[in-house]
Amino acid sequence: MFFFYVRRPGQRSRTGWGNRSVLRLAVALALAAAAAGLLAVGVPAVVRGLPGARSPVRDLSVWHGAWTSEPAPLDPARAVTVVDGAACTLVYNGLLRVDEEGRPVPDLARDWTVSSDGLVYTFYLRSGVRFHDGSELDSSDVVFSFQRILDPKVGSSRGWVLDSIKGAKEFLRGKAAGVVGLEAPDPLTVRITLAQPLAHFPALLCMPAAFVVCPEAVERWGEDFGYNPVGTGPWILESWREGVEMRFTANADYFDTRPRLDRLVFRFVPDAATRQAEFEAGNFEVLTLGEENADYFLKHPRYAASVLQAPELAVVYVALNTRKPPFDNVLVRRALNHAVDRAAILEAVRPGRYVLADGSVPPGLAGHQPTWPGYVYDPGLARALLARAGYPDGFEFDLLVRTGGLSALLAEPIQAELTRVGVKVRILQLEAQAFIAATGDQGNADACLVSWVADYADPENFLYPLFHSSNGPSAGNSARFGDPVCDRLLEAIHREADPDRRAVLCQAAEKAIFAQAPWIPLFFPVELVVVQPEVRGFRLWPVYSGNKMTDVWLDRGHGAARPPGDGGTD
Amino acid sequence: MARAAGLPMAVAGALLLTLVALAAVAGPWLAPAHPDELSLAESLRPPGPGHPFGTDYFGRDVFSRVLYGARVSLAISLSAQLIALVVGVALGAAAGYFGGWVDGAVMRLVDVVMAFPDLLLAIGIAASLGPGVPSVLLALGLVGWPGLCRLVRGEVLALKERDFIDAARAIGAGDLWILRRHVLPNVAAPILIATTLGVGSRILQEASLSFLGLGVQPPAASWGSMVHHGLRWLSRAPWLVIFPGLAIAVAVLGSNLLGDGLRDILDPRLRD
Amino acid sequence: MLALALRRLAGSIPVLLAVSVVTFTLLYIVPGDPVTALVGDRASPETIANLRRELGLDLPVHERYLAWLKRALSGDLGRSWVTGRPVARSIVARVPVTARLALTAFLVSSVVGLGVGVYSASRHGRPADHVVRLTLLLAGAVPVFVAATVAMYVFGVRLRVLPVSGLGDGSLRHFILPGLVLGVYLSIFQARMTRSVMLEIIRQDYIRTARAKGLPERVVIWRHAFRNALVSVITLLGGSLSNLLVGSVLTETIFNLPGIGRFTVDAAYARDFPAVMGCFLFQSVVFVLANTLVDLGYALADPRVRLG
Repeated sequence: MFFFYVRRPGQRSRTGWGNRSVLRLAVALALAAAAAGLLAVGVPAVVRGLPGARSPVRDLSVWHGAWTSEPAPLDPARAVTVVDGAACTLVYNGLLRVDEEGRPVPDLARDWTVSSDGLVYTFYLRSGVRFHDGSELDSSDVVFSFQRILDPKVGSSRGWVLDSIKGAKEFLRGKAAGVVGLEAPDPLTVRITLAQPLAHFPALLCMPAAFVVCPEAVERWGEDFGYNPVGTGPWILESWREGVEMRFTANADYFDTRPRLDRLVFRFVPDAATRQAEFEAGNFEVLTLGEENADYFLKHPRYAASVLQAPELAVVYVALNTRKPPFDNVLVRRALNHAVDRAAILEAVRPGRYVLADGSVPPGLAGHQPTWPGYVYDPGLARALLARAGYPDGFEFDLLVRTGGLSALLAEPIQAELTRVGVKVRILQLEAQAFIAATGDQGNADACLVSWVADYADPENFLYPLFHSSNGPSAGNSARFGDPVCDRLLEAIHREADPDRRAVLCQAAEKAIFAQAPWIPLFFPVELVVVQPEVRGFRLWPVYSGNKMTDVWLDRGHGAARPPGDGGTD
Repeated sequence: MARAAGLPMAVAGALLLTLVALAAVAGPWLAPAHPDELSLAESLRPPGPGHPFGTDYFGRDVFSRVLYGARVSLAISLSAQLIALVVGVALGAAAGYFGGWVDGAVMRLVDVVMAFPDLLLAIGIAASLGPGVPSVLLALGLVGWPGLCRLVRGEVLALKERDFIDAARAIGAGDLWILRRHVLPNVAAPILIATTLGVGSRILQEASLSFLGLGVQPPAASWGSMVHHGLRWLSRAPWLVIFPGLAIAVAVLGSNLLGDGLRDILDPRLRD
Repeated sequence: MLALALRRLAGSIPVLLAVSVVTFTLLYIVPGDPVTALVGDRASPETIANLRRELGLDLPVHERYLAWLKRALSGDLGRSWVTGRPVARSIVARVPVTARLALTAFLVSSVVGLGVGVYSASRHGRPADHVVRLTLLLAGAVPVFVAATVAMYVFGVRLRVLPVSGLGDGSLRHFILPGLVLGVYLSIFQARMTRSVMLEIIRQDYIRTARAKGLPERVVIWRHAFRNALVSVITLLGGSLSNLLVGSVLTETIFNLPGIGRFTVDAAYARDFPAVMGCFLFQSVVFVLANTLVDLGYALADPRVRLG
């Protein structure tokens, strides 16, 4: 409880006792009765219909997990955050899905072809796939689902995922009755024509926005569809207790590998310390580790062997506002890059759980380049560059960070490093909404510490949205970077279909961008999770939309015998 | 006898608060290191000869940070309490003394402020002004004054009925003069008690604000923000919570003991 | 009495209106646009403009407020912008959680607070008086989130006698730890008030008479003094209950209880306009009702306090 505010009424002299005591007692009783009444209304509602507490003997057919927040309604048109996407992934399927390496592979489509000009994609659907309500999936459902994402009346914010389809932009703006590039020539074929070649289009189709929904259910539930989702996925939403938890049961008719578990329970637990305590009490199967508890579990006798790690498709960086002095000067930006000893900071903050970043494309994606030297730590050079840029005595700027967690941990050592070359940093910790506003299109922040997590496993996701001049901060370009040469390279990446030539293009673009130092790139995180010793088949996916929870199961008795890293992708 | 009952508590409280004040004043001379001095190689050292309270994740000396934190925590809690005191006493005295529409207006205002969940007000203020010391002060001051206001109003209401006020009025004394010379001195004791107790509450409230990320901004640190940041490392480096936590406990206990002791000493109804 | 109650309630209508205006204004001036978070990254300007129009964010500010007020007066608090759920339904779902937490904390604090208050009054000035008060003050000198985390680890993780967090099956077990933590802070205030009231009563003639008659001290304290103190103490407690009923954000967050306090804060952080307005309206109604009752109690206890 916060601000535990207790009313302190006036200290009154207590004369006038006696003849009024009956009345006073009546008031006191009324107060007590009112309080009891308020509580009585509430109590039965809580007790009713709640599941039983977890029994001491674990039911090994049920998975207990935690989500850091309550997801938005389970509707592909509304799935924005990672938790939204993870929840939708259980219930729905797309035409394609990502495999363990993040590559697009068949899902609802058993196969697909691309025309030689890269414009026409033809998808051949699996036959006999059924929605949770028993109705059979056909190509018109796919067209319906995609058109729904683009429909201005639906108002989904994820239109950008599919707006490369021919006629999609016109439809989005309400200037066309349908999307000409979306066709269903027969019940098991979907033909998609793009307005322009887009080499990573299959990767986009793995995103939650491109999941296929049941049209009848959408019609029936309207605004409440997301609370009554009907998809084709391996899990069926069983119950959703607001603010508490969601339960899923296995879909016995799932067209692909049937889930090995019978049920999933995800509780919504925003506080990290609470999640850890629940995990240690054995109430969650898996816990994502942070800087503060990684060592604890890595050295824990019970859990050390159950820690999994895998590189994340993400990058953490300080974006410098390239449109605002003094960061409009490339010398200043380079100076700051030379002034921060990133290796020393990261080795202290998260030893062994990072890959130092010199660019934006994470390892594991074509186009990541370990050879690009980046900016070496050299405070002397930093000072010289600052002097050349006209700031021999340094300057002061605001560094915006999100409240809590990693950002705060990184901001302070960066602040200390920059102080040594005469640059004063004011750290401003802002809660989520204030941070988004201050670093967004309308804000004009000096610099911010942010991370970018992949929506799809393609290097384009780490270049075009982050650096193309047509993108502002809300699209990902926090540095407000724009450069004609880089723009042309980024556009060429979209058109290039040949994977090798595309990788070379990505490397060239990244090099050209970082020569101008729009960021102080920090690191590519390595994700660490700890699972209970009886967990089997759990792995870390490069993109959240890959994890359909079908292969995991719980094994009693073999807890200690589990080899280190079993099931991990490392 | 009752006077004696309050005395040991008051003395103990005053001693604890003196200790805290001493740390705040003499901190820079006592601290072995600069509180913001990073030394990444010495990250998370347990308490030992070099670092009596250990080091934090950046290798900063926790002892030095606790000493410097005394300034931040004391400055914030005292100033916030001062804001609450000035606003609360002024409005409360006016409401109680003048009555009528003044009283009505002030008490409605009190109702509105109190009807707000305090924390929401704090979030709103921090979001509007940006996080930092001014926001914390404003938030704590704003939620602190209605209590004092009600207290003062109640006391003044009771006092107003007493003869010496009427006597003063009869000899033609002005309202402000009566308020200053007769009313306020007579309500000074409860105000003093409430203010002393309030300082402790403000320290705890500042800690709560830190928990929500709305407190002072790094590298500056109050005890509350130190405890909050340290809490995440509890399983690995408990000293990050224990020492600033102890500091908070000493200050809050000191303020509560002094307040309760003063109440025993000053409150006429508790005297024999 | 009835007239007084009615007058007090009528007087609270401007308070409720003022609270809603202040809330609305705060939401309007704080930076942060709910739409940017709702749409995520890479949304097109058209989508954002459409959404703003749909949510009524393109209207002038006073029209937005009046539109909200009109709907609220007809009993419709709207749907949350974030979850799409009707706000009224969400509040109804969360009130029981806060109510149970409040009840548990209130019971804890009443037992501890009244017990310590009466006991230390009866041992006034003696070592026992100091010891019990000091113990309670010590417990209350720890920040609530530290106490909560430590309690969670000790009883939930190490001893495994109580649930770590969450609502579970909704049974009392899940409210013991949060109720204890919360109750201790409240009991300090209650002990303080109870002790003052008791000390005052103990000095009155009929207690002296009772003592002079040679009645056992226990009987004097509990049968005579405490019984007379109870009425004013209960009135005092009413005020603390109204504070508990608007939600205890930190306790609800750490113990992961989906109560009204956390709901309000989440809504405020998300700038979820209908949810924030609904919560504030609910909380101020609770506050006003509870306080009207408490004030009536004061008025009866002390006829010299006039109600404005």
